[in-house]
Amino acid sequence: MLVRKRGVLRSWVVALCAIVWGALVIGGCSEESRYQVLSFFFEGVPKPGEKTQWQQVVHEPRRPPGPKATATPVAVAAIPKPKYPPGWLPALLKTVPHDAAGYPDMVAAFKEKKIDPMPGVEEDHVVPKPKKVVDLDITLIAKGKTKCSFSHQIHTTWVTCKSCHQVPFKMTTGEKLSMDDCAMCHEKIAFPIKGECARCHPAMKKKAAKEPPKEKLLEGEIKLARAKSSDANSMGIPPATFPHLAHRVNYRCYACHNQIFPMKEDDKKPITMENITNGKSCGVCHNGRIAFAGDDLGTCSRCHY
Amino acid sequence: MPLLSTKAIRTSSRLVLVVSIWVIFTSGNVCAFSLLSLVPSEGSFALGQWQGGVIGGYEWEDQQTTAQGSSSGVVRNRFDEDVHLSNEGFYLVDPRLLEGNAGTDLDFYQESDNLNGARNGTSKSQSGTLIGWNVNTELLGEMPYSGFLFARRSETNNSTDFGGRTDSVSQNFGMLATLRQDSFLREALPYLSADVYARQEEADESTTQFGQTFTNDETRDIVGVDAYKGFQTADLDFNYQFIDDKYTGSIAYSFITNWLNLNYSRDFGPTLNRRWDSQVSYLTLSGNGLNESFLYADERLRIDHFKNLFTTYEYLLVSTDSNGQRDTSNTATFQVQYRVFPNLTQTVMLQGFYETISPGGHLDYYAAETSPSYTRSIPWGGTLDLGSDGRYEIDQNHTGGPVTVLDEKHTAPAFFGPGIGFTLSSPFVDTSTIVMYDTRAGGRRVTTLGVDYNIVAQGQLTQIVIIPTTVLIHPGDPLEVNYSYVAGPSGRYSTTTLGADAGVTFGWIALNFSHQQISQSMQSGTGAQFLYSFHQESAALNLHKEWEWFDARGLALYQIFHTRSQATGAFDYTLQNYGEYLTFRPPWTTNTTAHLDGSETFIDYTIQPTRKNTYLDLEASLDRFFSSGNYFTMFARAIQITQTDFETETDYEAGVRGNFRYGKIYIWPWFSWIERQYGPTKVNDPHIMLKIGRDL
Repeated sequence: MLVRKRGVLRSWVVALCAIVWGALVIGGCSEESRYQVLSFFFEGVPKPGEKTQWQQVVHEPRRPPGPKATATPVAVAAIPKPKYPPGWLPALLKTVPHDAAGYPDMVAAFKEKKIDPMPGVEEDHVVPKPKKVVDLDITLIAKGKTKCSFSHQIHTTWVTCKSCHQVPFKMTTGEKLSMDDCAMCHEKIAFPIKGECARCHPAMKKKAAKEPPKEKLLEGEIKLARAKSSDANSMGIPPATFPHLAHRVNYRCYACHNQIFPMKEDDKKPITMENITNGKSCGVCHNGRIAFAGDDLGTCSRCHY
Repeated sequence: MPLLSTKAIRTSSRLVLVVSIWVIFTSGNVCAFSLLSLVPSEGSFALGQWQGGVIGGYEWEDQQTTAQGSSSGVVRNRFDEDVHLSNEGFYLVDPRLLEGNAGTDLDFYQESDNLNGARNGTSKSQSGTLIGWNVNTELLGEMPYSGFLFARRSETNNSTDFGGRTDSVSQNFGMLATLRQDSFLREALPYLSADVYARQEEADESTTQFGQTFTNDETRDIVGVDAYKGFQTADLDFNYQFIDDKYTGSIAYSFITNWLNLNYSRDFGPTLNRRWDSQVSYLTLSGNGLNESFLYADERLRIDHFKNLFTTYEYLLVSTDSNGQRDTSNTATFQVQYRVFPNLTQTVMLQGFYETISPGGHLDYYAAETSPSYTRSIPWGGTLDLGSDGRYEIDQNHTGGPVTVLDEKHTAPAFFGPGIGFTLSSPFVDTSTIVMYDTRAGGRRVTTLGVDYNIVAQGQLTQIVIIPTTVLIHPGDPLEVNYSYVAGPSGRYSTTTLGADAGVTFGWIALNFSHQQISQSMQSGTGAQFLYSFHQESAALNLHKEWEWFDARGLALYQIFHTRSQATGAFDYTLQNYGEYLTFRPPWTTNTTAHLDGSETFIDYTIQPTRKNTYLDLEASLDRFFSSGNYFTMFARAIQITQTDFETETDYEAGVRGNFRYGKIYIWPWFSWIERQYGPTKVNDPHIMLKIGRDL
């Protein structure tokens, strides 16, 4: 027993010595060297000259004030407003620039900083850096029509190269392109190809829309198909609906595509509540920390409606 | 005590049966809808949608047991008939005023068992009836204040040709009043909802065997309130339940239970960065010479100082009083967590505990704990995770003698076999004081050592192993155990806990090592024999790879366990566990899945007398789903359990089951075959079941 006690004591002494020597070595170094050593082991080490940022914690109220509470706003003066109060998306869309056809112009909105879509999910309050933008504009010869100007810079701000190459665009010279391939995104979540000719074909004149924009068109809502064998059918739970636009204005496309959700329409990988509660699929963000949790029974109707 | 005579029940059941069968087989014809003409006055009452069906079932089983040259068996033939009919959505005046559903269920079975072998020529038969009905109504269902009234009853009778008979009645009725958040109170009291309920549950059972009748009638009157109030930055939950539980019959006793729960949580501070959680629970149980109370209060405050620094302060009070003997424990905990860098987190905890134990004495401890964790990306897309935990605790025991534990709750295992059981919660149990009760169906039957269970020492802990031949304990039964244990040495002693784990993940490969150790040493007082030391080392390898149509998972675990105390000696084992799980989804169809799972466990008890346990399990299944909702499953399983002190058990099982529907007709076939060998005993058991039903 005595031998064992000595062994434990020796381990403690060795560990303590290692910590003290390590601290002395790091502390005795120059600021630059200390930064290099620390940043090898740790993330988020302040650069030389930078001070540690102590970020305040701001929680949202659990619910809006009741009718009676609105009459006495004193107690809520210091309480921050909810990040996404009811009606936030229509209110936001009213503030962004619109194109000639009356659809929200997300590229202009981004340039004017009306929206600030994040390149990825923030981990421990650190937002990942945006992916590199490919600054290459090319001109496509449209068959029998005027030239089409394609901006890689605009597209790679939102999506990655793999989103479009090799499917549907193979990157080969002389490849026949179809506007139907552009419609993979355009008409579903980006501006529609019909009636918006001038946005890709600069030589064509901008025309005012003959009919008002179809509001639902760009919301990109996806009603998810449900497996026929699902118990949820018999329980009367409606299939989930994914509100594309609400996510698009907050995140760039590559935050989700293709790592979490491949863009292929024939992708058969099912989205299950089990995956979501295990932190996969929607659960990468919907985990109760970044966005409302999938296993919170109080939030079912936010997707199943 | 049945509320109706047997004759009245049989007469009414035949009437309902005739009406039900008539409705079901004439559905779609004029006759079925002529029921609507029974409505008292058109417009004031309307029937909803009729639902129902008939099911007929046949079951055959031939179980043959061979042991040491002799064989015996039983061939079972069983017929089941079921008729059920319900009306969903009937209403009075307007569905918004009163809507409901009502149904009835009639089940019959006849079983004949022919014994052969040693009991050749003997046969026995039994039959049974189940008559049930239920009515549920909702008053003002679309309003923010609704009412529910419900009543349901089922009566079963089972009789055997030896004169044995069991009659049981289960019935309950009650009401529920609901106030939703958008009620007329929403202006004055926003976010308020509440349920008030009252119900009576009755379960009567009368068993006659060999001329003796045993009755056990239980009536529970339950009244309760569940209320919830939300605030802008807080939530309040309140629950109260009163239960008057009366048992009459051969053994009469009664209990009254009051149970109160209050949960409150609130965010406060300038940026709502402080959170207070309060949980209070109080329960009293009195009657039949028992007078118990239980108080639980947990107060917790968390302050988020910054995004990477928070502290918590917690006080926990648990007080139990059993017939004047009161034990009270107080625990205070302080915790600070600081995320130094996004990949380095340090947690420090200080804890104090003080418990007074009746009839005299107290226990206390003070502890400090630290647990840093670190994660880092490594080359080739890998992740390194390191964690450790260290705790130092000073315990002081000033109790006068053994501590008594009353009614510690456990559940009997799902199946019985050598070494299968459960472990008592406390160490150093005085095994001579163990008394175990089986509390199935509200009863309290004393079990017997050596007949129903055995006691196995596992280091300082005690395991209860259920003997497979017990007739008293059924798999899954609720069990309650009374015993005494020595709470440790008398005096002052320290406990040092150290743990470390390291894990590396490269895509589909995860490797993990961990070490845990506890060592105790006496500082003053007596009873060093109750101190113990323990260490455990584990290495685990997990592989998981998914392809488009193939999912493969494998794991390997190697564990070394060692514990030693003067009181119980040393207990060592090494454990190896391997698992392989394959799932195959053929690319040409999305409706078929095949599984192949294997699990192998080897445990070597390395101290004399050395023992070895081996558990091998191989399982395969094929599921095929059809777009119509039909499916069938084929399965096969092989298990082998080998233990040094027991006979080897080998089980094989294979079968097919399915669910097929053609319009209103549905068919459930089931076929299984089991072969089990335990030492010289061999059991062969083919089993066929077929159910055919028709919906209304």
